[in-house]
Amino acid sequence: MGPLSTLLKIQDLEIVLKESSIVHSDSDLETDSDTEDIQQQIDELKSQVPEKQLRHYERVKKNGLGIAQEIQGRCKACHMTIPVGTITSIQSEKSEPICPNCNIYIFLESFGEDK
Amino acid sequence: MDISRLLPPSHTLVNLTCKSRKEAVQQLIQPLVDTGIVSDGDEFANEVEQREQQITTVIGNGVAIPHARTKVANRLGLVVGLMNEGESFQFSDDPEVEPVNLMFLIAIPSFAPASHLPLLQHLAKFVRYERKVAKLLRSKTPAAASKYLISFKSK
Repeated sequence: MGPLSTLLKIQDLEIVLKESSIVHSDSDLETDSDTEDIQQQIDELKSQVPEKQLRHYERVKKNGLGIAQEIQGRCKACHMTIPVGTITSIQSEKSEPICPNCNIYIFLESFGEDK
Repeated sequence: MDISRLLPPSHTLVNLTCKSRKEAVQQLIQPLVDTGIVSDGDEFANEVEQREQQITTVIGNGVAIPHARTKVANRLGLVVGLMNEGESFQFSDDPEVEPVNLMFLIAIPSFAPASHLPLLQHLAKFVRYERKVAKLLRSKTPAAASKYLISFKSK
């Protein structure tokens, strides 16, 4: 699994924690051990991501998502079209996989698990 | 939050009879498949099961909000399932967690992984009012239940 796939996984787990804080904030259910398990998984995954990428992810995440998928040429976070030139440049690894509009990481449709 | 577009009467199931989580989720998924929101019911059911393994979605007061992010959903979907008055079943794997008689199933498209958080917050607020939940459970028809839920405006 490459760093971008890992970031997607981290984001999914962070959303699970957010969901739990919403639904269990007022309930008496014991979910602490499950929450700790997930936090541990997140920390483990974070250790696999290069520091520079993790820092960028954490910084842009403050505005919502830190990474989004590209589907049919659109960033699924801001719904803006990503210029074909940018996509080509990302595919050929000449530039960082970042949406030129909302500045978050984009996971291109053409990326496999190794990205 | 206005949930009227998410909750047509066909997305509300009353008088549900189910004995297990799997059975309940199967029944709740059907309206999403019928309206084309979810393209593969079995895959979505598996994803709901996987999410349930991470942290239970039972919220207390006999309510569960099963949900999952999935590639087979093309937009946010919501289905409400009400059991007959006085009936309930064990939704959580943990026997200490109380049984459930009201469920809100949410399908979340994987390309918009956080799109359901406002809805989740809205439903969690509704569930805090025990009397409102009891009144919802007394609904005789899907249309009445939908109308009642839609009329709830969280502050």
